[in-house]
Amino acid sequence: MKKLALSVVAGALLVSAAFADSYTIDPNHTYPNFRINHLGFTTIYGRFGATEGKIEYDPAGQKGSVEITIDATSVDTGYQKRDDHLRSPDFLNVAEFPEITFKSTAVKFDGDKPSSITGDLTILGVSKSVTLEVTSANCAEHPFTKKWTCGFDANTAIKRSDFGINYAIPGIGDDMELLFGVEAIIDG
Amino acid sequence: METLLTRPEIQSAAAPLLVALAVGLILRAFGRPWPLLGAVVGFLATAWLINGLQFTPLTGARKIIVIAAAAGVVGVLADVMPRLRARPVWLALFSAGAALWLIWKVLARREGVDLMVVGAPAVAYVMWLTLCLDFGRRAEIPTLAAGLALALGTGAVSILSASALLGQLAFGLGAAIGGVFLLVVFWKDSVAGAVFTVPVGILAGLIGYAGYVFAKVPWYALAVLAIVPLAAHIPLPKAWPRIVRAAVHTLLGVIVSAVAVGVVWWLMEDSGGY
Repeated sequence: MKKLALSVVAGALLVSAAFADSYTIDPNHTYPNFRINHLGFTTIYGRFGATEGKIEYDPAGQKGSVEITIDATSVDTGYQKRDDHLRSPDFLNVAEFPEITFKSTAVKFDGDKPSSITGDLTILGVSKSVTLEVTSANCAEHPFTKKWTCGFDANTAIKRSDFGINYAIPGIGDDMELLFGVEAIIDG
Repeated sequence: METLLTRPEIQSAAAPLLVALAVGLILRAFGRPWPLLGAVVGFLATAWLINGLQFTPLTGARKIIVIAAAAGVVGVLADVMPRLRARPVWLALFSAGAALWLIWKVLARREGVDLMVVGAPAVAYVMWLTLCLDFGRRAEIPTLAAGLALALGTGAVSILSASALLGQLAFGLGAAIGGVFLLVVFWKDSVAGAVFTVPVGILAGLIGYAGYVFAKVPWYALAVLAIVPLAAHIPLPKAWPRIVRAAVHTLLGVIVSAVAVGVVWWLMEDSGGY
């Protein structure tokens, strides 16, 4: 009887390992940020305030996937006039391209934690493969909601000209860093 | 040289003016109205310097460039067929098609009244400017003055309303019109022709409306700019020298454009850079 119970538990563990858990991104704790040089003087920081997406995550099986959709109109650098300009055809052209998306194609693990996420970043309808370096990742029961929650921080560097955003280069830097802070709550 | 060609004053002023002037001088041998084709060629020079030959993804600004080339061809066809029946209807249909194609991505996400609120004014604005310029084509000086004032007003309003790209395209159009205007002022036997009125009317309309839909150009600035062709066509004594009439017709148009620019400027909370 004891052997039977153990084999049932072992079987259940194997089945759960074969299927990744599904998570929904928490928009209140997920912010894609960016930083870019301004005229060689300083670094301007900004972020997108509205994000949605799904994560599939299986640390035991070292598998995972990420899909994030960013509302391009939610760009916020702390100055309305600059944000209006960023929404215009000079930069993000949000009237025609209201969404920025990232869809992972491969997730690398270091032990049971992701170390990098490679995927297609689409801005202005142009898709380029980028690799996000994961600087931290953690899963635990949320202390307030008591739901299983996972989060990670990741960043990458892109050239905005690769996506057709050519305005005011080099005055406003071509190189920009993207920094993702993502939190996602398990479905169900 | 490459650095020089990236400067806005070259892309949107010197280059289109010189290209338009050169094309106008070359085409002068073919008689009227062909030298005025220089206006759209000058604009395409600006577009090439700003955008290159990249057309993917096909953004609104890139559609404007494609439409400019198509409008030039339509203008030529309209001029080689002077007895074309229902000419205003064909030009209106072309203008409407261009306006709807420009904002198609935006229209595709809207429905019902919301769709009409964005689509109908686009058609009306582009059609109005194109037909206004075309109806006045036999009065070449007021028509060119109207095109110049419209382009400059549209450029200034666009830049103030958060799109340097659209502003540069409009100023490029203005400089190109300036190039052919120089020829017209000193060339007595000329008419504007559809080679001028169709591309210039459509481009001024499309750039202005793109500024409204894709940037922050207020609708009332476009409403004021729509009056420019009427103001520039206020009759002046024929006895006045052509150069004086050109200056006064342009001034009349620019005054109205300046009202549109002034309203936008006045309503801005902060006119400084960042």
